[in-house]
Amino acid sequence: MFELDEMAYRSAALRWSPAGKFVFVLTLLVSSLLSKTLIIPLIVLLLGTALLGYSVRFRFPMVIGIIILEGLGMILLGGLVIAAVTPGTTVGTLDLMILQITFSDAGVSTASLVTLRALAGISVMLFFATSTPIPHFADMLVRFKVPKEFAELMVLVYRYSFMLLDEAGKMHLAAQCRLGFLGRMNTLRTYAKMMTGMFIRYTETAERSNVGMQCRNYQSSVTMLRQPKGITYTWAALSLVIFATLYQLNQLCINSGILVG
Amino acid sequence: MPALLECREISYDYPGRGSALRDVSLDIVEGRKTAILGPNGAGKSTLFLHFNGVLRPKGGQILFQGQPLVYRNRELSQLRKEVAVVLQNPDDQIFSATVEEDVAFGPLNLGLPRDEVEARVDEALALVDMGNMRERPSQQLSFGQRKRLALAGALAMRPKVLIMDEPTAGLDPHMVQEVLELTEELHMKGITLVMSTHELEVAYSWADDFKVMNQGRLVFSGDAEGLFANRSLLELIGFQAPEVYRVNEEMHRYGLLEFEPIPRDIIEMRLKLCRMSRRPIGSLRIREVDRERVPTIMEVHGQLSEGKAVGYYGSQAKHLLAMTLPSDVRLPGLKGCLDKMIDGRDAILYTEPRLVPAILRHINNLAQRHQVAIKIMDG
Repeated sequence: MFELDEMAYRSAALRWSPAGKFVFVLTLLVSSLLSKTLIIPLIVLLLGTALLGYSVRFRFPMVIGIIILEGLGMILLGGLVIAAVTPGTTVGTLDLMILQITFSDAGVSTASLVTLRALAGISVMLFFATSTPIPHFADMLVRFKVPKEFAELMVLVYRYSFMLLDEAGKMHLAAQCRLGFLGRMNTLRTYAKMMTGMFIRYTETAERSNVGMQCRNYQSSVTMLRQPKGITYTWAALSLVIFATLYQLNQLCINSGILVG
Repeated sequence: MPALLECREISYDYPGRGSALRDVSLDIVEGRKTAILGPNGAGKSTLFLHFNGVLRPKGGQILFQGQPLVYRNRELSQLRKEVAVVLQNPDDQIFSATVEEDVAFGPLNLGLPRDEVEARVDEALALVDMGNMRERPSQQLSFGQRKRLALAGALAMRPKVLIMDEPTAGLDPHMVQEVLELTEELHMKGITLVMSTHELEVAYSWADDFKVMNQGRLVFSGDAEGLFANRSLLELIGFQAPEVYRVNEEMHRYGLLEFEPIPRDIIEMRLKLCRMSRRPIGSLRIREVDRERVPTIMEVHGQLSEGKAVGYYGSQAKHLLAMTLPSDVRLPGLKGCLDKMIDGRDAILYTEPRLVPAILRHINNLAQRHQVAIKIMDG
C-alpha cells in the first residue's frame, strides 16, 4: 500500500488528468470485454503494459511483480477450469495419475479470451493505480458529481489507514516482544485484543484529529491547493477514437475469423 | 507590554473524567516567551485549547487583546487566525495527503486568494526548512519532519501568538536545537510564543516567563529564579532545577563564583567564567544576507572568514548559504558563534537584515548581564 502510494506520487503520468486517465482506462477495459477476438485484449494488454511502464518510468518495483504474480496465479487457474469444464471437441488431455482432465476446443478458446481480458484489465488498472494518488482520484469523483462528503471521507480514510497500519505494526511488535504469538490459541487471543485496541485507539485519534482540524479553522469542507487537471476534449476524443478503432478491428477479425475466442 | 491572552478563573471538566482546569488565572504577555510547565495530566493541553476557542470554559472567562472571546463561527475564525496551536502529536494535526496541501489547509480555510496561500506555504515551508519537500506525501515523512510540518501548518496562519504543545518531545538533540532556534527567530520577528514542556533545561534557556500547573491548577507564575528558589514546589511537580543552575549554586556555595547573574545555559556560564578569569572574547561580525547579496558574499567570504568561525542565523540565511558556504559552527548559529568567541576566536554571523537589531539587542543584553565586553563589527 505504502509503495503503491509512493509510486503514484513519483509517476511520470502524475500530472495527467485523473478523469482523462479514468475515461481512457475505462474505454480500454470495455473494448477488451466486448471483444470476441483475442486480438483486442492483446492490443489492450500491450497498451496497458506500455502505459504502466511509462508510469513507473520503466522501473518495475517488487510490489508490481507481486501484484501481477498473485493475479496471474488466479487467472491461470480460472482459465484452466474454464478450459476443462466447457463442453466441445476434445483437443488435449492432462493425465494426473488419479484423474484425467480433458480440454475442449471451445473451452481453450474461451479460456484464452478470458485470460487475455483479465491480464489486459490488470495492466490498464495498474497503470491507473500507479499514476493516480487517492486524493487525485477523490478530486475526480467530485468532478463527476459524486457528493463532496464522500470524496473527503475517502481522503481521510486513506490518510488514516496509514496511521492505522503504523499503529497495528507497533501493537504487533509489542505483542511479539511479550510472547503474544506463542501457540495458536494465544495468537488468536492476541489478534482479538489487537483489534479491540485498534478500535479504541482510533476513536481517540478521530477525536484528536477533529481538534487538530478545528485549530486550523476547519469549515466543514476541504479545499485542495493544487487541483489536478480536469478532463479535456483531447482525452474524450482519444478515448472515442480508440473505442471506435478497437470495435472496428474486432468486427473485422470476427468477419475474417482471425483468433476468434 | 500588555497581556495578549488573559485567563480569568477558568474551569473545565471533561465529561466523566473530572476536573481538568480549576480556577486558572494567568496572562500571556505580548512579545514574551512563556513556558508552561507541569507533569502529565496537569491541564496544559486543555488550557491551550481554551486559548483558541476549541474548548469553552465551564466557568470564568478568556480575553484576547482585552476582549472576551466570542464563541461564534466568525469570531472563532478570526481568533484562530491570530492564535495558532501546534499539537503535541503531529499526526493529530496532519491529515492532508501532501506537505504543501497540509500547510495550505489553514490559509485555504480562511478563504484567502490562491496567490496569497501559495506565498504563505512558501514562507512557512522555508521557515521550517522543508521547501524541497513540498510534494512529498505526508505519510512518508519521519517523525521530526512531521513535527516541522505541523509547525509550518500553524505558521502559515501568520499568527500573533504561537502556542506549542511540547514541540521538542521525541526529537533528537540536534532537532531540538533547530526547533529552539526557529522559535527564537519567530520571536525576533514579533510573534508571542507559548510552549509547554517537561524539559526544564530547555525551558530555562528559552523562556522569559514561567507558569507551572499541577492537577488543573496554576501553582506558580513568575521568573525562573523564583521558581527554582521554591524547592517544595519543584518537588511537588517532580522537577529538578536545571543542571547549569545547580552547578552555579554549588560553585557559589564553595565560594568559587558569585551567585548572580545566574547563567541560563552553558554559554552564559562560560561568559560568567570569562569575566572572572578576565579572558578576552573574540569579536563578532554580523553580515546581512539576502538573495541579491549572495554573489558578493561568495566573492569575499574566503578573505573575510579566514581563521574565523562562521555561523548562520535564521531560516533565510541557512537556506541561502548553508549549502554553499562551509560552517564549522554547529547549530544554532548565534549560540555557536558565541561559543567560539568565548574560546577567543573571531566569528562571522550571516543573517537576514530584519533580524540584525534583535541579535544586537540580545548580545548587548548578554554583555550587560555578565559585564563582559563583546566587540561587534559592522558587516
